[in-house]
Amino acid sequence: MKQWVCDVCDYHYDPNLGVPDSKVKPGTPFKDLPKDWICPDCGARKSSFSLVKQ
Amino acid sequence: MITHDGKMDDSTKKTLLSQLKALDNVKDGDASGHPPRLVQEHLQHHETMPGEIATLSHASGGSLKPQNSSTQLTEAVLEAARSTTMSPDQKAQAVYRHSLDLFSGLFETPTAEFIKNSKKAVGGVVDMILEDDDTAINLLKVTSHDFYTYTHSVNVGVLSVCLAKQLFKGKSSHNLREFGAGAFLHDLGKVKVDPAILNKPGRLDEWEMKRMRIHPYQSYRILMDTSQLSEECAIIAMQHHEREDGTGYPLRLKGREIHEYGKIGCIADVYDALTAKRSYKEGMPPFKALQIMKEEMIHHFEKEIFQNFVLLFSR
Repeated sequence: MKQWVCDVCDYHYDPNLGVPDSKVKPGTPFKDLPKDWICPDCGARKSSFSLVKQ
Repeated sequence: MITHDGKMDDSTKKTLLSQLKALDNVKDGDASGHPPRLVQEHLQHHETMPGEIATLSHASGGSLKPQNSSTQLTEAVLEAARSTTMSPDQKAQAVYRHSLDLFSGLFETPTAEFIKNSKKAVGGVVDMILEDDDTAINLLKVTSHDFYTYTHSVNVGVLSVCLAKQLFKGKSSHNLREFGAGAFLHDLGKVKVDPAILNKPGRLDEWEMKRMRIHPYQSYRILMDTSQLSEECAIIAMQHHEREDGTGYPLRLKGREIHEYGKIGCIADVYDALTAKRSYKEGMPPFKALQIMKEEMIHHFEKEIFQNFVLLFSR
């Protein structure tokens, strides 16, 4: 599954892991994250994330 | 010129005020928006915070008592703030010194109890700033320029409350005790940053700088999760790195999207970063910092709030 990275703080979203201790379960693709989802580390919006080139 | 105790002579005051009037004619977008290299260095070093956060010793400004409980440290601040026997200068120094001790302890042990007591102490300091103009003016002058996280936190707290006092003169819609708590605690989230980055004794690389950017949101989370502040006041923690022109972080807010508390915190934060001395650089004199902020960074701030900030140093 495609990985995404926060441009503000470099937090990596790995869909295989989801976000532990949150409602985001393992296996959730980035596109399925809610519109108002924010980076767990820095609070940036989804629009601040970029696709990690494989 | 600015004298060593922070006062401006009349001719400098006159020059600065006339330059500020010229700000009304500055159009948006006619400056590069990029501060020059020297300023970038000052700000980068502030944002990266190399080296000092783990250091417990500090120079002028107070004695370190890590073994005192947060209750004792809080009482020391409150006692100084409520003193009716000390001169304004003595009182300011005592309040500042005890505030440094308290916040030094807080960053070592950021428990809910410590945060609660810190908030209580800040309440006393805010009351003092609002009620005692002479001591408040002295408090602006005694701030140490040694750059440690806790020193910076106290400095930004003092600067922000003094600015808010001026901006919101008498308006009861603002709870300045709550606001002050947010200002003093705005960088608490730095305890969530990787210690290897915080303790690095040198310039941070690009990745390390990015990791530092978690601290506004983490400060906000700590304050909200421990139910210590209203959301409106935790906003200063969340937004103190947002910029008027949208080049800040984490949300890249612009202009009216930024709460006025965030705008106040931003100005205080940048000013303290510029005036702070580090092991590898001297801090800028106050007048120079204000000049840089006005001439090279003005698009980061709301002009009216910045003009009021400058006036704090004309007394």
